Amino acid sequence: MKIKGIPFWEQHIEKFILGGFGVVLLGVGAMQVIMRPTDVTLENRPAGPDEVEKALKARADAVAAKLAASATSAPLVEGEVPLAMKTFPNALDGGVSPRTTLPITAPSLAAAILPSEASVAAARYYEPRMLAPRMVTVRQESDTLDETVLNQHPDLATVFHFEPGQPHDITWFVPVAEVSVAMMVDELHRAMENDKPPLLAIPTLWYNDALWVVDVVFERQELQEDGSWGAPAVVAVLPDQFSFRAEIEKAGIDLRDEMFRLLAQKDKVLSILQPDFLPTKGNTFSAGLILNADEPTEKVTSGQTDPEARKLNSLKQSHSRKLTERDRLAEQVKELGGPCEPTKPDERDRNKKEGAEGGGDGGSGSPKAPGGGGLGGGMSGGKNKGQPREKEDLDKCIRLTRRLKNLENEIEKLEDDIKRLAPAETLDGGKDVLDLAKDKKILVWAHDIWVKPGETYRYTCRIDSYNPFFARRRQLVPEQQRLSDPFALASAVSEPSKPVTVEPPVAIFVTEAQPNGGTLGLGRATVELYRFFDGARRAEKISNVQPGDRIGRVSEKRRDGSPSIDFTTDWFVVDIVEDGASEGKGSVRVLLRRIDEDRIVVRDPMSDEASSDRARFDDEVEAAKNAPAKPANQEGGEEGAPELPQIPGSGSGPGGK
Amino acid sequence: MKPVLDWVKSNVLVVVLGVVAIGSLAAGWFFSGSMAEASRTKLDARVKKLNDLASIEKGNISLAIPGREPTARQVVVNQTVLDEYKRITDLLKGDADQVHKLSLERNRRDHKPVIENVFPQPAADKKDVIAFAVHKELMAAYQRLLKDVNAGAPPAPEAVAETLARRDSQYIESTLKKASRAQLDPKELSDLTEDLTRSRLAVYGEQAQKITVYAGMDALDLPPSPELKKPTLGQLYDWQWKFWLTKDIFEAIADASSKSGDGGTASVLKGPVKRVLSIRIPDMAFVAKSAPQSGSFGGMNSGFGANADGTQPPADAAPAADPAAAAAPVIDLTQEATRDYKRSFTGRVSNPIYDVRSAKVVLVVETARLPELFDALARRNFMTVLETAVRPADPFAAARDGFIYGKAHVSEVTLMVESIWLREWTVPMMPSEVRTALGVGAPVADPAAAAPAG
Repeated sequence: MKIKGIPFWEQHIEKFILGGFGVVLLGVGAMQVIMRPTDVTLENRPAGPDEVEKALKARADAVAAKLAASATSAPLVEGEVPLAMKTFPNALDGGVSPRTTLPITAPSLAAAILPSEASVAAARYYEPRMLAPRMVTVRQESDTLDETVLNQHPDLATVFHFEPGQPHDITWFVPVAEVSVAMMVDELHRAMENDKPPLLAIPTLWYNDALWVVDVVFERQELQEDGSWGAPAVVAVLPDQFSFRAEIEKAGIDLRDEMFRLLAQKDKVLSILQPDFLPTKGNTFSAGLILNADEPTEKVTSGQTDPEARKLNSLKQSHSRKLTERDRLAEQVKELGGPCEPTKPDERDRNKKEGAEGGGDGGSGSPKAPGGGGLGGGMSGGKNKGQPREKEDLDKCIRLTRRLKNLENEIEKLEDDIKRLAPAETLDGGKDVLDLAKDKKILVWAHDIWVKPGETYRYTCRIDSYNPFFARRRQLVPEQQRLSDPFALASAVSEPSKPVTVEPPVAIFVTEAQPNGGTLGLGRATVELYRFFDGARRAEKISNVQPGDRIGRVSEKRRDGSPSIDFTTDWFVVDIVEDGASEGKGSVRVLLRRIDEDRIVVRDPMSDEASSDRARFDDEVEAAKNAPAKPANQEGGEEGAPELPQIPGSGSGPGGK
Repeated sequence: MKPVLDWVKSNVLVVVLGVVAIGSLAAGWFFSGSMAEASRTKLDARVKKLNDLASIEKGNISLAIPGREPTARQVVVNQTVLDEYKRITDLLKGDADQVHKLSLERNRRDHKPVIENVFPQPAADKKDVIAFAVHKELMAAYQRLLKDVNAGAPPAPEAVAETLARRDSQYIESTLKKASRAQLDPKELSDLTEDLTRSRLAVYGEQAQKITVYAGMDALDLPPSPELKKPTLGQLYDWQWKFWLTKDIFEAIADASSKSGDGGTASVLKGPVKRVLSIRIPDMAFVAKSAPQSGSFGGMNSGFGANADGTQPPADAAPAADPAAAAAPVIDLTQEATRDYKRSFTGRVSNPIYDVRSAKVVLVVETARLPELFDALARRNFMTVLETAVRPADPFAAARDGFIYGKAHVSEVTLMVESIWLREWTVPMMPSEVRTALGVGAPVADPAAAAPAG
């Protein structure tokens, strides 16, 4: 090939082009490597496609893993989710004050000046424990029921089983107990302030600083055939006897206020503690029988054989009893606003109308006039003075006034008799009328008309007094709030009395006896029999009673037309003997025995003759003989028998509450 | 030029290839640029996906838990997280519902109208008599309230006199053993007077132990008799509202007394509150706005089917819709309960959620135990004591009138008590005029423009 004349560059142009390509290629290669035109920014640094893909894949895998259902992650809330209901209820019931009390910045003079009764909240008080009363005796009494009682309470006829046409003679028991009032009052005042916790004395205002006896509860037990004692049965109150017994169980504040008002009246207190018996023809029972029983004149004086002396003694006993009874009646009549006289019918009707129109509730509903207490004014004495009375109080007042007058007459006659027998004799007064505020001890009794002849009984007694804690729950600490429920505070129950048997209606006194003599030479005795019949004590004297004879007989009809009286008994004379230990006239003893028993009873004629009961019966017989005949309508007063008043709180039927 | 052309003609191949070579270089340069751009764009898209993945990894979840600052966390929102989130929010919602329910129950308590079917609108045939009936029932309800909280008065002078008379005669007869006052010497008279004074105070003290607080109808903010001035339906509603507030205050007082001391029965002597002297509750603003029109029955009709301004609708207007059928506005509980601290330290004002009513209560309280009363008010309902004024009380002057406060120091305390009434239960009973006056259902633009508190 010709190369001469071809320029160099032409000779080697392909080399130059190839070289140029090579350079360009190198340049491009260098650019690709150095400049990396396809790089992008990945996480603030350049990254090529492969790096991006790798990173993308890695990230996608990671996210996919986290998105997987089983993947776990950190909890959204640290710990438990705080719920408002955990604290909100407590916050609602919590307080807002930063402290519970404020500092005291001033003294309180009230603490020093106001009395504790006014400013003490619930406190602990001493719980009084009332001692048991003491059974003293159980008396048996006999009398004849007044017709008016049976008319008003026909159910009594079923209790006594009266025979048609026969007088309504009854026998009943009077259990008597002695109550230590002073000790009961001391219990109410007691405090034990050194105890832990201290026990304060009951505030006196809670019980008006007095003992309020709301019930006297005697319980009777009957001797069974097997020798055991039957279940106790509460002796019910007499019909028409004032009593709270029926209301005590369901007592409320009203009863308390009523009780304070009523027991401020002496006759109501006497009705509860020393009740009179039902109206009877003979009025044999009187409070004096019981209250004067411990007087020396009442006691048997052995060796007192002088008839005049015995007569004088008997008169004095009777006088003392009647004085006691008179004082009681006078007190009751005064409380009722008497003396009261029965008025004529038209005047009584006018009084009724006037009382209804202008009188308000007078009578037992009238409180004492207000006064004192820092409010000025005085105290008017006595109840019902010048105020209209309820009919029941008026009737009672009239009845008691009449009895009072009779008693005054009897006392006058007795004093005349005593002066005739012993002009220089000094007479004792009657027993003071019961006063719970003054007396340290009192006698209480009840009338048990539900006893059966021939049966043996024993009695226990407890006293229910007003409970000062009653209805004061708010003023007691929780442990003592139970004390506020019962209305009455019961004392302990007494020991049982000695057993007593309902003696037959005929009382036997052996007044004389000789160990020799009689038709058989076995001795003879003189027996006096007393029986209450148709409103009066009757006597029958039987001489020449010999061993083996049955005591008693039916008396003959009397000349005055009075019927024959049955003086038969179930006793007979076993023997008349001399007591070797005694000498003289007083040494004879008469042995008696009941038909249906083995027990022998020894009677001492000296004792029987001097017996106070015999003397009393004698007086009653004498009084019955000397009593003028009463017209048919005299029993009830001038205008006929007044209705027996319905006294609130009359007891329920026999044998229990 | 000719030689060049000649050379080109003689070396056409070289020239062409040279041009192709150079051209390909240029073209390559051009296309590689655009290709690189496209490649970068794709890569950028991939990188963006990467960022999307990163954002998925860093998902933000924010939980607003009451009582705490809102917290945000970065999590991958998977099903577990969603479930957990739902659980927590359900828990919080349930909790909020219970709080709401408890609050509503606490606020509403046993507050009911004294007569049913009066509010928000009584039956047409009862319009003429409803005011008298409501008044009568409210008076009876106040009496019952006093009885229920065992409020009472000192013993009647007649009863005290009777007791003292009994004590007088007993002291003279039993203690002094005299028959009558006339027989007493000066010393005995002095002792008797002292005893009777103690007895009189004891009678008063006994009464103080039986009751929880001294209070009577004269201390209450009683509605006036409709015979004097016929009330509107709004006024009747205000009377009812005042009774509820009074009831809450008395029950708080009873609560404070019952919690005192040793668990025994509450009494004036044991409780911190001795006596309620007065409770006064200002009328709500709507009462003043809906004052009765002149004329004997204008006032009665105002609110009873009347327009909000008290005028009567035209005679040929369609009869008023049955109130029972008219739905009460729904209270939006998500609205903010605004506060205005210029009014009180609590800042509470009436708002779409609740209304605020105040009461001025004057009491005799055992000074050291005031906090017990404040706590009792707060516990009973949403009541707060805003202001307290204390001055000493004279227990001796009070004792002369029969009021026994006990041994502790006592003060006469005047309280301003603020109470809250949730609209959720009060609005359905509100007459339309009351709703209008309180702006029920209308949004509250500015706290200062909110309906003023009672």
